[in-house]
Amino acid sequence: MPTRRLSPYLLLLLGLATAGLLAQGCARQPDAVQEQQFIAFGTLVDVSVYGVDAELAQRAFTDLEQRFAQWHHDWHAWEPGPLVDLNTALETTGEAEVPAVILPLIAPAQDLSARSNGLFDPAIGGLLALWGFQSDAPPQAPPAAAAITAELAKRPRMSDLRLEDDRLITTNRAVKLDFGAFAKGVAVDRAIEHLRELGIDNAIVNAGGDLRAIGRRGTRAWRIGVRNPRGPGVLAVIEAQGDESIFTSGDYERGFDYQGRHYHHILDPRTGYPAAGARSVTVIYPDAATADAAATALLVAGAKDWLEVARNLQLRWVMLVDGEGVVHMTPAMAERVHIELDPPPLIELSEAP
Amino acid sequence: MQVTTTREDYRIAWLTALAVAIHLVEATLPSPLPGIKPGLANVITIVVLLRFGWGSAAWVSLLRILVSSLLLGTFLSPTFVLSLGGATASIAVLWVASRRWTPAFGPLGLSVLAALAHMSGQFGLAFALFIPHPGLLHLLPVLLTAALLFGITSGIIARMMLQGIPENTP
Amino acid sequence: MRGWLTGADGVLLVAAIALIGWLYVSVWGPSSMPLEIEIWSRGQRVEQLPLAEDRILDIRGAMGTSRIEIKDGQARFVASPCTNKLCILHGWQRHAGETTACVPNRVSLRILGRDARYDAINF
Repeated sequence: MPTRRLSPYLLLLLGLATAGLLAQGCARQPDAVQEQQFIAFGTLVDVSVYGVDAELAQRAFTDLEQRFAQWHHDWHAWEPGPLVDLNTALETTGEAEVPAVILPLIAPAQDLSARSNGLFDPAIGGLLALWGFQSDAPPQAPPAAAAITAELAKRPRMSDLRLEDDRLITTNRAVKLDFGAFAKGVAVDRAIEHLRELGIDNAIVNAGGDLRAIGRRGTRAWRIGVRNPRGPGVLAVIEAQGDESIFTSGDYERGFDYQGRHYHHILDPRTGYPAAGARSVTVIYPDAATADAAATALLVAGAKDWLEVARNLQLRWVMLVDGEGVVHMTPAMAERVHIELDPPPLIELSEAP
Repeated sequence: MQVTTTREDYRIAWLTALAVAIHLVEATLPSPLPGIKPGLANVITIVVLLRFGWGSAAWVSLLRILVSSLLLGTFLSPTFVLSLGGATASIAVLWVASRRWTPAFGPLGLSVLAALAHMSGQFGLAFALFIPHPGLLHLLPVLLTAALLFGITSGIIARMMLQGIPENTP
Repeated sequence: MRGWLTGADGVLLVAAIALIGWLYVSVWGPSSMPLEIEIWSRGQRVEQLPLAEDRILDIRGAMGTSRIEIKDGQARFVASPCTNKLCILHGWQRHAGETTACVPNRVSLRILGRDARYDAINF
């Protein structure tokens, strides 16, 4: 019978020592996520980076804050700046040279507008101005129905614009560009690009609730909660995979109340009134600019037509909460989403777009 | 060609058959949660380990899983995969536990080790392959408690069986 | 006649019971770290407090003072100088990762936990 065997008591001691060390290590682990908040595009921008030393993180935050401020100015739809100048030129002469800072937005916006059947249309600045949404102060009351009809009759459309090199020619003087439903997406894409240039591969850039996440949070994926469109709390949680954007458009964001009714700022270009077909739409898509435009277009499309628009825009992951609180999802989205709401809402799976 | 069999082969074959029989009976029992089976067939594994060595125990274990799954029609099913995973973890741990340089465990200790390893292996596989939901972790302590209890029971039965099979049986 | 338990068996049993007990506590017990609330104003973190203690906080922001209430492990905006009052309408926050902001006043609150349920909120 072999005599040199490990004493069980020694083994126990070793085990306890290991356990103790592990416990200590867990307790003392500093949070490797660093975060900064700043205001841009009239909203709170939140940048989180993981596993980056403090100096690089600070540099990233400062850079991003500066860039966001620059983009906010470059693409501002009503404060004096390049976009306002462009709109003025288009209105007076029907054509204009596009400022370099705005040029990269035109072609993608035209493409997305066309593919969304015009439900996403940055040319309706005039309509937005009529409603008073082109101002920092919220409007007090909706415009008169007659005024809306008159504005609609002018039919400004993104398709009225023709881009030739860097000159924009319009066949409709009523076109007034407002990239509100798109600019944040572009900014987020560029911000992520800059973070990558700095060597940061695990981060979230969250511009007022719409975000793009890259990499992971250490050992686990970034977890993104989608806010409940009615009431407090979170509707669902999504785990970001790799590099993707998660954008939500809702009827509860910017807007105003008048005589007991709520009017939000995502206007339906067809009716001239705030989109009424859904409470919120969440889209997952690689680039943020497309996700931004898509979420807007789908909110306008509403519960009736969203699948068709999703098809045209080649979206895989879409979740829409309709006017009754029923959650519609593509099958692919259903696999990615974990409903947090208790009691859970009614869910309807669509066919794959 | 002649295949010679020894008395040991007969013994092992008989014990494997017994293990399969126990496994089949257990398979008919309703279980409160998937994955909670008394695992009494493990008794045989421990007895073989202590009388015929680890190699034989490993054979008996694997044969038991294979034959049972073929008889039950669950071969290559998720149940089979989980069973196999559990058994593999179990015999791996038993290998470590029966070395010269590890403490001397008795049938009870080995049984508990085998049962805990088996349950952990099954859980790990289920988590990795079938239900990667963090909520599943809530079941783990419950499953391991069951494994501990069944391990102790198996250990007691194994001990009793071993008293009936004296060492150095030809 | 050998005994029922060897020394190693005994140690193993004790260790197994301890391990399983620990598992119960960590998986079924309350979160290992108490929740905290983090308040930012004008781009700076101005408060980080335990969520367990009820209190009322008046935070100076860009427009004026926002009032934040902490009660029963939840937090919310009760008053703010903004016009839309969206921050107040958003109600109570209690889970780690949840956040509300008064954008015009540049004041925001967020619930922190060691393993936040959400890293960001989409809205």
